[in-house]
Amino acid sequence: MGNTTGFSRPSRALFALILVAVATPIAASECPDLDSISFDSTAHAFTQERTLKSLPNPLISKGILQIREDSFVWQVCAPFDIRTVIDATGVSQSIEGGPATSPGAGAVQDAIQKINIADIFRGRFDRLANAFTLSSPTDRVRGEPWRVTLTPQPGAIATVIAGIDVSGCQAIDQVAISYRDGGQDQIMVGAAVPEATNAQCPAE
Amino acid sequence: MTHRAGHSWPHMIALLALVLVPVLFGMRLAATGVSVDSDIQSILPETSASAAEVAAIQQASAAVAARIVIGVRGGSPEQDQAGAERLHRAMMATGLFVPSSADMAETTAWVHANRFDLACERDLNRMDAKWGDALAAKARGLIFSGMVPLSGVKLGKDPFLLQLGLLECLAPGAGPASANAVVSGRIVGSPYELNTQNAIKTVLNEWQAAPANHGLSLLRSGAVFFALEAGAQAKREITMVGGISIVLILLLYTLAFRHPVTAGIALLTVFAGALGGAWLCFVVFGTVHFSVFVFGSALTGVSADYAVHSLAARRSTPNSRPPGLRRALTISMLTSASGFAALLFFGIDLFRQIGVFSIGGLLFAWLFALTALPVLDRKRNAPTGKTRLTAPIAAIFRSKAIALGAIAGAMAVTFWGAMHVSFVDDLRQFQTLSPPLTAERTALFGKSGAQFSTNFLLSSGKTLEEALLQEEALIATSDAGAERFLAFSAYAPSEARRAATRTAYEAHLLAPHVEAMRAALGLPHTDLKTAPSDAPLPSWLSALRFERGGMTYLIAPILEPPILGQSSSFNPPEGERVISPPQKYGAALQIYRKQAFTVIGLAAAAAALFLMLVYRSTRAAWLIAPSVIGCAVALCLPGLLGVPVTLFSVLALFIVLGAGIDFSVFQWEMKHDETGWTGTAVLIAALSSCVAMGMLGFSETLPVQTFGITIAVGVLCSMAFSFLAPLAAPKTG
Repeated sequence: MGNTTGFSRPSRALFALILVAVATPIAASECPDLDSISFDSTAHAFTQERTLKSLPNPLISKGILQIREDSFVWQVCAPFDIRTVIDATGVSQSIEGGPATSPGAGAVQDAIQKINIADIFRGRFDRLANAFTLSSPTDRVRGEPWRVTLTPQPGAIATVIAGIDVSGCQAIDQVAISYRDGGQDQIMVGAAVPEATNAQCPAE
Repeated sequence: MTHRAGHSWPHMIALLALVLVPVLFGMRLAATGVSVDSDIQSILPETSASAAEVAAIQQASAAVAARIVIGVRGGSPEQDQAGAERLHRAMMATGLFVPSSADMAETTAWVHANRFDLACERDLNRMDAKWGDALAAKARGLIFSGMVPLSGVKLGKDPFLLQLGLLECLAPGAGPASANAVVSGRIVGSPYELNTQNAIKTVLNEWQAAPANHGLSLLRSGAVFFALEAGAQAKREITMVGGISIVLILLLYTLAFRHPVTAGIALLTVFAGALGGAWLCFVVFGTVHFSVFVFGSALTGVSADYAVHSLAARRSTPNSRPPGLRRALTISMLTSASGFAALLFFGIDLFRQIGVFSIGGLLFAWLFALTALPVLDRKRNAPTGKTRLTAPIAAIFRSKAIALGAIAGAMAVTFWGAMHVSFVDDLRQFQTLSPPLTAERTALFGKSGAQFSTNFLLSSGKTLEEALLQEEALIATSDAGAERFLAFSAYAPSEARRAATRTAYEAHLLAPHVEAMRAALGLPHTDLKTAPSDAPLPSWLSALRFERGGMTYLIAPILEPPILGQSSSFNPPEGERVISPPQKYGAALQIYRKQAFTVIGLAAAAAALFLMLVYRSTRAAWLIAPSVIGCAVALCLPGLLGVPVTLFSVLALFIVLGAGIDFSVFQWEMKHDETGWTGTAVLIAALSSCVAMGMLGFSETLPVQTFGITIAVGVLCSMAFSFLAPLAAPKTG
């Protein structure tokens, strides 16, 4: 009677060997080096946890972000519908379905553009070199998730932001912005939402 | 044998006076220091603008013209920033600099305390439900979009981020293109104060010389830098003109008197006069404007003639006291002084000071020429006896036909020139803005960068509330747009507007939206107080308000459009309440110019009257004719060359008048001199005046240029016609 329970002991050992042999290159290709990461233009869910010193609890926002070469859409779906678009023409914001206008005053737009959140999510760290000093752990094992710290260069932004930590694997998974006054923004990129072709909030 | 002056009592007293004046002056300097007013704004006469407007211009200058922005460039961002921080520390050490960050901290506290009384919307009628909804939505966008850093905001007290929006919308958009490696702030006091300018200049020079800053450069913006650059250009010109003048004058005196020390004697005569004039001015006025030294010394420069005539007369009669010299010097001095005395009757303090300085200057120079000069003049290598240096000129004028022809020619030039004369009183045409500084400003602010002009809106009222209401109404109806004004009332509105604004916030923002916003932010319910809390008025804001004569005045500087440094092209909105300091200064200079014309006429009349009294003959008035012809030609001839007439041209006429009187009086008094030395002295005096002051005509600065050209033309013309004096003057001397 043949062995119905599966592979024989030698066969299992051989299979395990093959799995290890195959799996190693797969693991190495999961997290490319920092200069090789790319962004996925498919919309992704995100969660933002904003800790402000003047509030007792963090503010939690959920929404969809979509990164493209020529635009960056940041669509907050809850607790309010706020759509922010950064493209070649600048920054525009539509609140609760209202018309797209410049968010806040000039200083606010200036701050958004200086932080350059779109290129952070694109992983285009070379474009951030004018405003930030980049550093990453030297002991990272090749293929494992990576982490990079952006420290603002002296100037106006440095008086507000202490540093930005970006981590991920194939793309950006998490961005943490630390403010000088102790506040923090923690952004976690979630699963792809391919049905949100234009980064629209799902219908309730 | 060398003639030595006799040691009579009057002589000794005069010498004592010459010694005592520097001693007394030195004692005053050591004890209290001299009080020199170096602020250009002090020249504004209260006749051209009300006292309040003059005060407002000074206040506005402190508020706007005192602002400076310096960018550090040329290194890496870190190097630039480090350089900017070193510069910031050096500027702070002067005690003359208030950084923008200090102003910003004060402003933030003030705006937060008054946030429910302030609004970006200037039209109260538009602060309705829609406005409140938009404010609430905008706040939700800023807080929950997650894109905006919200460092330092107090959401518990300001859940709609009013402070953030107000800080941005209330301040007109003036600032550098990049805030990186920039030192910005304001200078305490006036940027036109020479002491302030020198302190800033020292800081910049030391910063540039420091090894740590090598490779870095500065981009400067601010009135103080333009003033410094203008001063540096003047210094360069004075150095060049002064250097050439000294060489030429030394040459002239050496040629005539065969020894360069004679030029030193002439210079000492003028110096003694200027020292005496300055001393008298301080005794009479206490505080003296720095420009009085410039013009007072220039008028006292006429006294170089006394030295020249003394030197010449002593050479014409080498073995005895020159006959008639003392009388000629005295009449000449008293005639010029009586002419300059007309300045004392001017309604403007500046001119009275120049009058006292120049009269004192002539008196002390005269004393010097009579007493000290004979002691100093050893007549080494002196050519004595006859000289025929000016014989050709005398021969020409001996012919009546030629003399009449010359007069007719002068009249023709005068009339022809008069047809082409133009007047310039606008300060902005006096000197073009420094191209390097304009380029630095453009680099710093970008091509679209806007800055405050020196123009401002002036509002007033018997109370602060009245003044605020007027400012609010004027700005609301201005075509320029409210966002163009840095208005006191925007930050500290009238009580009426405060109450209406607070009501609008309560009705259209807080009532419909505050509970929902609190819930979204996770804040407990508490009453939100809308009444303003205590906060000190920012110091820069209080500088926009002043009181005078029981009235409260408010200044609202106006933002000029981006015009790449050409501030002159800014046309302020129509309305008599808009004050343009350049226009006010222009109006002041125009008044000065017109009054100076009147005074020069009065001075000539006073001098003629004095001569008629001295000589007891109406014909003596003709001794003024060479000066009058010189003045007329000097005023009109430049018109043919396209050179306009400025106040400084008219001031130069006083020198022409004084010098011309000297020439005529000496020609007349020494008419029996057959040695030719009198004519030679007149020629040397005229040429040295032309060299010393006429060379200023090569200056690139219009006032200096017109001053120099007028003197050169006027003095030469007066000199030539003074050879007619012996023909026209009284028969008896």
